[in-house]
Amino acid sequence: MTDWKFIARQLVKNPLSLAGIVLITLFVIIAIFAPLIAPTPEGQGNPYLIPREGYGATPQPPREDYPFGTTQGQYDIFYGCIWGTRSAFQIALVVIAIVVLIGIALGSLAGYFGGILDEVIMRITDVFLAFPALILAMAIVAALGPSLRSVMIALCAVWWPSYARLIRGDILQIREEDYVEASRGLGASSRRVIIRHVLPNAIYPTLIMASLDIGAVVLSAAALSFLGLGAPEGYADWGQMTQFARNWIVGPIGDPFRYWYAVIIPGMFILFFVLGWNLLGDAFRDIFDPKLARR
Amino acid sequence: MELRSYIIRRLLLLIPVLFGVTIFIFGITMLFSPIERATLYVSDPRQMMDLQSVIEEYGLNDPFWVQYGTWVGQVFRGNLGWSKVVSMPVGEAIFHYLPATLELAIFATPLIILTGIFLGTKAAAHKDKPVDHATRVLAILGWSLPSFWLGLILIMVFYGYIRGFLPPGRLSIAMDGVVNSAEFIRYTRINTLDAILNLNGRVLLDALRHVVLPVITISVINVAFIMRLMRSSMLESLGKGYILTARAKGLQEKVVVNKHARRNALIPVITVSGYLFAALAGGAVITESIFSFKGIGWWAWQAASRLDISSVLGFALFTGVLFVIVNLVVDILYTRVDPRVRLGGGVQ
Amino acid sequence: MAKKLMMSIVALLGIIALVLTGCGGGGGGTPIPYLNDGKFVQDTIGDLDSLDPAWGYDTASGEQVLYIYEPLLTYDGAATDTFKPLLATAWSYNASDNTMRFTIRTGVTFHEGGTLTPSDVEYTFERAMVQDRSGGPIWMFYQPLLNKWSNTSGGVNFTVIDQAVEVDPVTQEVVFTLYDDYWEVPFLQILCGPWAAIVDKEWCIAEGDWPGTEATWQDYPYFNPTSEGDTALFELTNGTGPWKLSLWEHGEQIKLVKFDDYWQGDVPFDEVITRVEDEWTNRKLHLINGDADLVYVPRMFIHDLDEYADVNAIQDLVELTLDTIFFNMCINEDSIYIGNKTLGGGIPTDFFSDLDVRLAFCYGFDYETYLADALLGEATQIASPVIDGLSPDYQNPAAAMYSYDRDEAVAHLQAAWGGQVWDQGFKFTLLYNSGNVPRKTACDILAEEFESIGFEYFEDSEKFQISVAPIAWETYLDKIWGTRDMPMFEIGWMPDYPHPDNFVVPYMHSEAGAFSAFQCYGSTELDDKITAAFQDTNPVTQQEKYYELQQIYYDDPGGIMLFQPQGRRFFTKYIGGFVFNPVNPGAPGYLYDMSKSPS
Repeated sequence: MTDWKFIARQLVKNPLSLAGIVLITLFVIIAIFAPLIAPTPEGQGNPYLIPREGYGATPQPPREDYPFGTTQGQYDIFYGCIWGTRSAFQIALVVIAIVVLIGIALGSLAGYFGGILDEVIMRITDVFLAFPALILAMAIVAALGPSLRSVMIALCAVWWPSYARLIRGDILQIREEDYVEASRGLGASSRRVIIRHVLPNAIYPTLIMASLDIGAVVLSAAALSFLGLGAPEGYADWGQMTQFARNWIVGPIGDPFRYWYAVIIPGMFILFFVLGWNLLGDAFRDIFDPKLARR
Repeated sequence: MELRSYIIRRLLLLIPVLFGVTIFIFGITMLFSPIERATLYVSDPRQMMDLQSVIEEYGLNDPFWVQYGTWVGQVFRGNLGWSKVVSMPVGEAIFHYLPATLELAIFATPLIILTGIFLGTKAAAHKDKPVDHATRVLAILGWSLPSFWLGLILIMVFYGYIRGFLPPGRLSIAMDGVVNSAEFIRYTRINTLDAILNLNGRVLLDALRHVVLPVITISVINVAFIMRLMRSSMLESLGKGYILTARAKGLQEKVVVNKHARRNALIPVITVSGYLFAALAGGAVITESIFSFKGIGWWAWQAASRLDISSVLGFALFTGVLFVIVNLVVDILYTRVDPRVRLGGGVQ
Repeated sequence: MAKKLMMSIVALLGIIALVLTGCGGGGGGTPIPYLNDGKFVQDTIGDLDSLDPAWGYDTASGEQVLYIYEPLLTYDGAATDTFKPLLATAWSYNASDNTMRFTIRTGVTFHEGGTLTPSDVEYTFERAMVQDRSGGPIWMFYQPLLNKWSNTSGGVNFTVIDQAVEVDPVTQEVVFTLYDDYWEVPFLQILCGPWAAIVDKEWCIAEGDWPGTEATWQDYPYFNPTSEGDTALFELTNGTGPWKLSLWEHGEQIKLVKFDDYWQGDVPFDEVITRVEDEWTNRKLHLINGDADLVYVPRMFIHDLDEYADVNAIQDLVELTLDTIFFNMCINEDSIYIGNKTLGGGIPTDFFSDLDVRLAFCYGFDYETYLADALLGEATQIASPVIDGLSPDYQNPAAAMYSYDRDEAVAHLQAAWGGQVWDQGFKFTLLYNSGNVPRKTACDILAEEFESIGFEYFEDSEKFQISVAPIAWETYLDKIWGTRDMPMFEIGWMPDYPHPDNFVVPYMHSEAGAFSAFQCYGSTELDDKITAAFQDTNPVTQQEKYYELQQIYYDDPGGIMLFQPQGRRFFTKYIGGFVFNPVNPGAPGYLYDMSKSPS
C-alpha cells in the first residue's frame, strides 16, 4: 500500500498543492469559527439568515459595521460570505459523501459480480448521464421546491453515476490482479475480498475525482442559485450572494465598478475555494498516477 | 466484431436509455398532485378558477402508466406535444432553437481544443516549472469563474464601455431584417453559415460580432478540462520508451515533444472532443441567457424551471439520442486511432 | 516559446488597459446615438400568449393585438371616461329596449384586402362568445349581454348568442342588446379592450376559423379551445390597424410592419419591433447605446438612468394596480404552512377570521419603510379596493387608512382570540413568488415586526414567528385558487376595465370575488350591497354606496392594503408624443400618435 508520509511530503514539495492546502485550511478555519468572526445578531433564530440593514435595493459600499458592504436588499456581505463557507462545506461534503457511498455500493456490485447486475447498473448510469446535468438538477429542484435540501438531492442525483462507473472500472482492473486471485483461492468470501483488497486500491482515483468535484459541486450550486433554483433568498450561501450581484455588475457608464464589492467579493470566495480543491486534486493526480514519469 | 452489427447493437441501446430517461422525468412530475400539475397548463391568474376542467382535459387524474403510455403513443405518432414556454410544438421548438446552440458549439469546440492542446503541451513539456504552474492556475481560474460573472463583465466592457462594439443577441436589428427578408435564404438558421452560403458579407460580419463574446465565455470555462487531459496524456506519452530512444538519438527536444509525444497524446483528447461537442450541443444555459443567444440550453432551462413537462421530455429524447450517437462515434473513432482497442472488447 | 507566450500576454494586457482608459466613459454627458430611423424598438420581459383577440388576457398580447387590430372605439387620450370613435363612427343607447347601436365606419380596409362591414363586427363578437376559452376574457361579453358567465352556463345556446349581437337590416347599425341599463358605461369601457378588436369574417372563415353557423358552433377548436395554438388566429393575423404582423419568433421578438392602406393614413413607424430581453443589464445597455427606444425598467433600477440626459424618464403615472397581502380565513386543513394547526406551534385554519388578529397585522405593518425601500417612494397608500383613477371616480378622499402603530398592533394582538394568541404565540409560513423583490420585502417587514414584538415583550423572538419562503409563480397561483393552503398571500390586481366594480368584486364578493371567494371573506348581504352599488344609475346614490363599501373594507379588512404604485416610462429623447392612459395594455401607449426624430 502507499506510504501516506510519502504522499504528504509530495504535497508539501509542490508549491501549487501547498497553496491548495493552505487555501482549504483557511476556509476550514473560517467555517469553524464563523460564529466568532461574524456573530449572529441577538434575537435572530436561524444563524444562516443574513442580517439586513433595512430593505433598500441599491448595494451600499463597505463601511463601519459592514466591512464588505451590503448587497441588493441590504444584506451584510461579510456575514453572508463567512457563513456561506459553512453552507459550501455542507453542500459539498454531504453531496460528495453520499455520492461516493452510492458509487462504492453500486460500482462494487457491478464491477465485482459482473453479468446481468453489471449490465443493469450500467444502463441506469447511462440514463442519468444521457441527460445534461444542469437541466436535470433544475428539474428536480423545481419539482421539490427551492431549498438547500432540494439542491443537495438534485446534485446527488446528477453526480453519482460518474462515481459508480469509476469504481466499477477500477474494480474490473484490480479484480484480475494476482493477490485477489490468491485471496479467493484461500477461500475468502467475496465481500471480504472486496472490502479488504479491492476497495482500498480503488480508492485513489476516487480521491482524485472527489477532491476535484468538491469545487464543481459548489459551482453547480452557485449556478442553480443564479438561475433562481437554489437556496432561498437571504440564506447565507455564496451562490445567493453572487445572484444578488447580477444586476449590479454594470454600474453607470461613468463609474462602471461602483458596486464592485457586491460583485467581486462573493465571487472571490467561490474562486479561491474551488481553486484550493482543484490544486489539491491536481496534485493528487500527479502523485497517484503510476503512469506518470517521476523524475 | 463486424462494424455494421456493432453499430446496430449500439443503436439498439437507444431504446432502454430513452425509456429510462423519459420514465425518470415523468416520475418527477408525479410528485405533484393533479391540481398542481393542472396549473402548469394555465398561465393567467384568472384562468386558475377553472382547474377541474383542465384536469379532465389532460387526464391528470389517471394513473402513472396510463399517462406515460398516452405520451409514448403520441410520440410514435410524431406528436411530441406542445411546448408551453415557447408556444410551439416541441419538435418544432427543438429545430428552432438548436441552430443557435450549434453555432456556439461549432466555434467554441475548436477554440477550446486548440487552446487546451497548446497549453497542455507547454505544461507537460516544462513540468513543475513556472510555465506549468502558470498555465495550470490560469486554466483552473477560467473554470472556477462563474460564467454569468464573466459574461456580464465582457458585455460591460465590449458593449457598454466600447459602445456598441460587441452586443448581446444573435444579430443587430438591421441585419435581422435582412436575414428575415425574402432575399436571404436561411438554410440552416446558423447565421454565420447562412451568411456564407448567401454570400452576404455584412450579415457574416454582424453574426460574428455577436458570436465572439459567448464563445469566449464558454471557452474560458471549458479549456481547463482539455488542458488537464492533454497535460497528463503528454506526460504519459513522454515517459514511453520510444521517447528515450528519440532523445538518445540526439533529436531536438522541440521535435521530440511536438512530433512524437504529442501525436500519441492526442488520442484521448480527440475522443474527448466528441463528448465536448455533445455537451456544448446540449446547450450552455447560463451563457445563452446572459447573451440572449437563445438556443436549446435556454429553452431547456425555461422548460425545466417552469415545469413544462412536454418540453422537458422532448429535450430528454433529444439529448438521449445525442448521447448514444456521440458515444458510438467516439468509440468507433477510438478503434481507428488506437489499434490496441477492439470494437466491443471487454476487459483487456 | 515561453518568452513569446509572456510577450503576447503582456501585449494583450496592454491593449485591454488602453481600451479601458481610452474610449467609452463619460457618464452623464454621453449622448445616445440616433439609430434605426423609422423603427420603434422596445425591450420587454416575457412573451405574449396569442394574437387571437378573443384569446389573449395578458397585457403583452393585448398590446400587440391593438397595434394590428382595432376595436370600435377607444379612450380619448388620457381619459378613462370619455371615448373617441375608431371603427365605429357613432353610438347611442336606447333605454327602452336596452339596445346599444353602433354605426360602422366605411372605407376601412383589412391588411389582406377585405373591406370592413357590419357583418364583420357581428361575427367578431359571436365568434368570441362561441370560443370563450376557459379562463379567458370573454366573460366580459357574457355578463353585460346575457348576465351569464360563459358558453357553458345554463341557458346559453346559439340562439341567445346570435340575438345578443345583430346587424339592423335597415340602418346597417350593429345592435347589442344589453342585459340592463347599468351596463351602459362599463360596456363601452369593455369595447375598448383588445378582446373586442374586429376581425374580417370572410377571411377568417377562409382560413379555417368558425364558419359562423349554428351547426358548427360547438365543434372543436371553435368552442372552448384548450391550447392557444389551436385557434386559427393564434399567429395568423388580419386586422385594420396601422401595422401588420411580419414575424413572431416566440420568446424572442415580434416584428410588425407598416400597413400602407391604413384608413387614418400617416403611420409614424415603418416597423415596430418588440424584443424579449430578460437581462436588465442588456436592456439598459440597449437603451444607452441607442439600440432600443423604450425599455422596461424594474423599480429598483429607476435611478440608474438618472445620469443620462438623453433618457426621457417619465414618472408619476397613476397606474391602475394595487398590491395587497390577503388574509386566508379558511386555510386548507392539509396545509403544511400552519405548523401543528393550533396556537403556539402553528395557527388554526380560521386564525384570521378573528378581527383583532387582522387589525394587529394592519397596524403592525411598517408602511413607511416599505414605501421608501421597496417602492423607492413612488406610490400612494390606498385605503380600500377603490383606487385612484377609476371611472366613475368614487374614491372617498377622506377614507380612513391604517398606519404603522406598534402599540395598537400589540393591543389588538392581546385582545385576539380572547387573549389566547398573546399567551401562546403563533407560527406560520408566509410565501411570496420567488424573484419578486418588493413582495419579499413586504413579507420580511411583517415577519421582522412580529419577531421584534415577541422579543420586546417576551424576550422570545420566536413567539410570533413568521417564516418567509419563496415558491415559483406557477405554484403560487395554484395555492391561491387550487389548494388554498397559504395563510396569507400577496398579489396584485389589474382591472379589465376601469370601473370600481372591477375592483370591488374581486376583493369583497363572497362568491364571484377572485380573491374574496377564496379567502372566505364577505357574506350574501355584502354581495347584495355590491350588486346594488353596481346597478345604481344615479351618480349621487351610487357614490354613497361605494363610499359605504370602502368603509366596510376598512372596518373589516380582508388584507393589508399596500400601495398603488406610480409608474414610469423610460424613452430616449428621440421619441415624442407619449400620452399615458392607465388602461392601455402596452407600455408605449398609443403608438400611432407618437413619433421618432433625430432632433
